[in-house]
Amino acid sequence: MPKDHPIKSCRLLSDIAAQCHRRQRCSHGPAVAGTPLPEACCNGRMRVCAINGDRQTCAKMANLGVRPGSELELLCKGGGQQCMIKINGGTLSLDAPTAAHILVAPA
Amino acid sequence: MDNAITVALAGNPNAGKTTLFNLLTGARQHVGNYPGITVEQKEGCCLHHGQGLRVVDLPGTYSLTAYSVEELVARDFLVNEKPDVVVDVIDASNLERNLYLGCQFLELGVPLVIALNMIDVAEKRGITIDAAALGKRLGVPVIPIVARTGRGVDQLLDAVLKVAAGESRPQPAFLRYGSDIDEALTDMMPFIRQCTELTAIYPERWIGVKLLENDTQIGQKAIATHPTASAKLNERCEAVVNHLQNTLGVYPEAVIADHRYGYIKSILHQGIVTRKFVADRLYASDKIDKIVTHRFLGPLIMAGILFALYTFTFSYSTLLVDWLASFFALLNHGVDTLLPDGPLKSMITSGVIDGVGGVLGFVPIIMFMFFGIAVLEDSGYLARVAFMMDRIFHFFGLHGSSVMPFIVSGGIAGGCAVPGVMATRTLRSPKERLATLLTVPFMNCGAKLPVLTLLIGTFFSDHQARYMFLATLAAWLVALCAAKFLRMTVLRGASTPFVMELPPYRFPTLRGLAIHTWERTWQYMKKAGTVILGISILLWALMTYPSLPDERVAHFEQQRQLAHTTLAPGTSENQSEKEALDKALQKIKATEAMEGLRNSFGGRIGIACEVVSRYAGIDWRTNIALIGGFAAKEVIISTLGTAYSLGDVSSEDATSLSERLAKDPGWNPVVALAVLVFIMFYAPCFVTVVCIAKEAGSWKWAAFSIVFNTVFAYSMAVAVYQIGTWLY
Repeated sequence: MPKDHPIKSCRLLSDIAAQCHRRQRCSHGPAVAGTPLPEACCNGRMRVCAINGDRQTCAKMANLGVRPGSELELLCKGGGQQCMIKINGGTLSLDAPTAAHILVAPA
Repeated sequence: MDNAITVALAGNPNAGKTTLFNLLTGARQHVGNYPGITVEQKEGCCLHHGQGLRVVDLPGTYSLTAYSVEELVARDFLVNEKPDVVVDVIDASNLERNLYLGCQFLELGVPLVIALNMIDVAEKRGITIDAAALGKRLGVPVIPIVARTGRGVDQLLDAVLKVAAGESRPQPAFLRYGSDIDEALTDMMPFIRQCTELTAIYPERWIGVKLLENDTQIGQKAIATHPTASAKLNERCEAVVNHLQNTLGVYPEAVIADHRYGYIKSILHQGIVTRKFVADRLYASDKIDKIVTHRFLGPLIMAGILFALYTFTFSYSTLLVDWLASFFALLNHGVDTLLPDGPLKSMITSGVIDGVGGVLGFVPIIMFMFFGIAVLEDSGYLARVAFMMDRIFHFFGLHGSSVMPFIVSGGIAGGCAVPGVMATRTLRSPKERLATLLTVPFMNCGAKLPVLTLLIGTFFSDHQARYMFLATLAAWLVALCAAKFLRMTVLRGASTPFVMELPPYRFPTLRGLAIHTWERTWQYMKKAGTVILGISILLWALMTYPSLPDERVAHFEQQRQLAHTTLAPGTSENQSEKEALDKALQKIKATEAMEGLRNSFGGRIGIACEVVSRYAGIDWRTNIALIGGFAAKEVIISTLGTAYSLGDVSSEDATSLSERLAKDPGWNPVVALAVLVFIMFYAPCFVTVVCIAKEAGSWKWAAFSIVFNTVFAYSMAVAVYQIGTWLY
């Protein structure tokens, strides 16, 4: 097996370690990069890079104060599951598909 | 109160509007530490300095754009009813987000007063707000209050009267939304002015903003008012959307929201708010959440809490239940001794005492269960349950918002399907809503609880709490599987997103718990004393009339005389002979009663249904109770009580229904389990069916609910009985 294709379990462990220490920055232009919120590996402060999804999802998020550039704290999450975030002093629960539309980077 | 001032209470969900409403009007509207409790507007009255106030509690919203039913209800009231004053109830500990809605009230140009609620919580969190300076910047009175204690409410009402006395309505606030949006709004103005019917209701610039925000209601109204101008407006909106998507990758509503937040920040950053601690630091509530909603620990804690609730309910209420059962047995005995034999005595003992007493006997259990639920709801834990259940609900084709209707309907045994069905209004997707309202009646509501308690207590008394917990799990499983089935067949469609604000954990107040527990228990008792009493008497009549034919009555009279002559010749003092005579007379009386019951209308219906029900082990007397249960599930107990007291062949004295069932040869644990399963899942009660028809907008779905649930329940009961009999 080539070195750059590790076995699945090793890749998972190495990814966790790598993602937790990797710092991604938001680009200033149209934000297309970033980690979907449910896949953010560490609990802690994040900055919203972009919000994808349909128009209504974006509007609802904007009303709740989840906007590109805003900071949030990821309180609870499971791999690819629903998320609980703290933003603007309030705590929001987001289902997995909605949370996946929010792209974040460590603050 | 013809000259009463109309005051609308608006604000974000869980900001304390209903608490303030209850304080002002003395009402006892349900207040919960859960967002979205208020779905419809509620009205009440109060007096302040001799001035009458008509207070309207609006549903909580985050914006005034028509994205949800609550937002539509709130906006329509503000625009159509034009209240004299709008009180924006704001959570002071979460000022920035709450002011976002206040900012939209300013844009709409409504006469506004801001109530900074929960100022004590903000102070505890080290947040100081200069209310006077904030009011000056916003141009509206800002009054700090604590709705729970009434602090500052007098000053708030003073401000309300002052604003109401103002001669003219305030002008809509002019906010800038950036060059792209502002230019588009300027271009749109001439076309908006052509829609005169719209501009007569809404401010011009506000219409433009809503069109850019893709507000469907305003868009449709514009088309209906002036199709040509509307087409031009749409064209301009499309151009802005495309431009913003190509340049910034966002929609206009995000840019508008950005500028609103910018406006709020600019106000708050001028020394209005001072914080002792870092903003957005984690409070105890957040730390608890990290454990309580943990991926692995969370479900275990949830199961533990539910099991503890059942153990608490069934361990501590037993004594009171026994006392009440003894009280009603004593009452029955008293009436039996005092009144002469006849229809009146039969109606009072079999119809009223056995019927209503059977239902009232479960009040302690209901009370303990409601107390437990009130603790979970008021503390904010139920909202976390919704969060944890969301993923599971998605898997079964439901929405995260479906969790609350399920819980309200009896997800934690003891709810009611009627408010549960009504709570589905918070769901936007019609298919998810239908799937939810058709499956919530599977939950173990407060009316089913006494039936479950009776059967479990009689046949599985050693593990009462464990069986109740299993019954709850079974109800959830069946409801979710039924939802999945509906979503895969008749209600196929995509899932919609679930976003909910979680309230902070709060220590429930003893007063709040007492009010919630008493409200629900009183509702149950009131129902027992009115509807259940009526239905019990009606069913008693059905089970008593027509009476036996004269020749049969004469036959039994002849048998009695025969017993007297054969078993007690002369005036014998022999005790054993006396006992034998009493026994023989009792047996004749019971046989006559049983034959009378079989001959009655109710008995005939029960016997007719037995052709089908016997495959599930359900006899004709239980059939009468099950038919009565369609009127109200509580009636099952009362009808069983009546049916088994009328046709009681085994007991000499007045005994409880539980003892009668335990002694009846037709009952055993397998039959009990089959009956239990049937009662849990068969047709919802009549009130729920009406409610389903109203909420679904068609009687077709109500009929579907009756047929689907009954067929499913029957199949399950037959399976349980046949397999159980084979194994038992």
